[in-house]
Amino acid sequence: MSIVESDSAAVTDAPIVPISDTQAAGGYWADLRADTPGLMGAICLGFLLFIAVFAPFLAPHDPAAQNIIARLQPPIWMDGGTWTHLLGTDHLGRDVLSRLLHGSRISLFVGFATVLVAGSFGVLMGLISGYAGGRTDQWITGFIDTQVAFPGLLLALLILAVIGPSMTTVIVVLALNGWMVYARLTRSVVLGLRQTAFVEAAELLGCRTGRILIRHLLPNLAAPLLTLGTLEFARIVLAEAALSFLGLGVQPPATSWGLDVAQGKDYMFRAWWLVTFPGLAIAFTVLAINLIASWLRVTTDPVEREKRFARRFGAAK
Amino acid sequence: MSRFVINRLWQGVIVVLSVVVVVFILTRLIGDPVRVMLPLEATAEQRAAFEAQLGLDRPIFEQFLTYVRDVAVLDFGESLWQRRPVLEIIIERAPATLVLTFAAIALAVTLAVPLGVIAALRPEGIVDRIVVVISLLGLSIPQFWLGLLFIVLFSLTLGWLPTSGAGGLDHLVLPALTLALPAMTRLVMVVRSTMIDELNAQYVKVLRAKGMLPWRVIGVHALRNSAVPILTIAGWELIRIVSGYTVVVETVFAWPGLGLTAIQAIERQDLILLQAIVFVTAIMVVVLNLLLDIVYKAIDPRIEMSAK
Repeated sequence: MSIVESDSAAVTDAPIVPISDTQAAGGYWADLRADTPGLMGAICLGFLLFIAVFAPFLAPHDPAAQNIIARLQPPIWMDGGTWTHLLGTDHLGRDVLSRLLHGSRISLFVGFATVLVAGSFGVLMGLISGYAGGRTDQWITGFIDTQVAFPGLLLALLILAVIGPSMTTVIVVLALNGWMVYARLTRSVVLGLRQTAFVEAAELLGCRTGRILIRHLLPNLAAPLLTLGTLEFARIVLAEAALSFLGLGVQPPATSWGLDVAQGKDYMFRAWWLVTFPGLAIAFTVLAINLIASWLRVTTDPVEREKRFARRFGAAK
Repeated sequence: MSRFVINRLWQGVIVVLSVVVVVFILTRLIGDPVRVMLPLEATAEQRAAFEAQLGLDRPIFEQFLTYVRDVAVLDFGESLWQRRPVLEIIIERAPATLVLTFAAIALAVTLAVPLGVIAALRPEGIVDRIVVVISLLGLSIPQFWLGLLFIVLFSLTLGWLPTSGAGGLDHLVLPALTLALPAMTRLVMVVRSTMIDELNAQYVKVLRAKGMLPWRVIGVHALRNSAVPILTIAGWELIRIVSGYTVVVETVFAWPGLGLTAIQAIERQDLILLQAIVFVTAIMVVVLNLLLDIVYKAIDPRIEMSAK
């Protein structure tokens, strides 16, 4: 079990190598500013969050308002484009820009909600499995191994077909499919920390199991879980878009970028903007999250930090 | 070795059994197959007749036994949509999915290995930066959208390839490429990082010092030592594609495989066909997992994969 060894090594090394001051709140900020792609990702995500929160005030039109007379109008910079519809209109005369702004809400909300649900359940299972050990651990890991070998996406399709698609079903289905990674990560870290002096001390002082799990073990999981959660967030934004594209996610009249691509697909040759803009919006969002994730991965992992430090040091020499 | 295989087989059996149970619970207990499959205006008599036809009027335990017995002999019943045995439809559609899957994984590996190796030769060099940027983009672009872009570019604008459907090799190119790209981008990153580590190893310095040709050092020695992580990830990508990622691509390109059939079954509310596809996919995933584990073990005897 090399994972466990490296984890425990990293933890016991932590007080010796003075990385603690860079890991304080201000340190993270300074670190983010030094990493251009990560900073760009963070700015883009902040921008998207702003749009999602204030979409009703920013959008020039009601995203569901139809206007058959003004259907399939091109964006402003093309012949026939008008100021009323900056990015044109779709086959029902709905404003593309307004739908785009409103679509950000669905993507980000489904992403956050799924990560939260899957993450809490997975972390709980991982904590129990890693800390309790023995038969409990065997059962939980057996369960995880079995579910990992499931054809996840097809099972999700079956659930959606049986229960009927909606935003809630999408969140539940994606969370059911994704909790195992959190459980595995949590379990491996907990196994590494289980025998360390501070956990033993807490046990000897008579801490209850719940307190040890939450106050002593969980804080050590913050950094790897944050990285994993961000990566999963990107994956789920893509998954929601794909399900909505297939017609199994968010249902009309609600808006979703994946749904808009599916509806625009039939007019792809006459009105390229219907497919292009929502697709770009998805790619932009996922790219921003991925940039943050790769920054987080490097910055919160002592081994990666050391590599980066060595590279800088080597370059300076 | 044989004990290891038996262990893995046993795990596979457990997975298939749990899929059977989960599907049964989903379709019979949580969902109401009659409500899903019959039109809203069906009369009470029609509903009762349909229930009797599916055996839904019998006790739940008896239903489960019949169900398990039928699944064991691959008797999935008759499709509501096509009015013929489900197994027939699956046998008809499965080859298309298999062809697409293997074309995609072959494409992903043949593109990823050279790209990753070239990038690893000069970490943070120009090629490396381009490869990293491309793979980041590849991870962020939704697959269905990429497929549509390909259709617009290669089929409509350039007129090189057909837009959709199945036929000759030219029909396979775009779907396989779309399916391969995300897998390739993840694979490139693995090839790159393992090759960077290998090329920094002591034995590479020794080989270079004694004057071995660079292509031999890289292509034969370093690459062979990175084979296990690369193959592991390639195996994961294969499983990922089989376990459902063909659905989206098949839908975009109207590729007549199991994924498209699953979507058509949902549109026509044919739960019988859909659940059979889920089973067959589960069995394929289990078999592939087993084969991959045996391959790893054969490549690298150090790998200890006892079932805990």
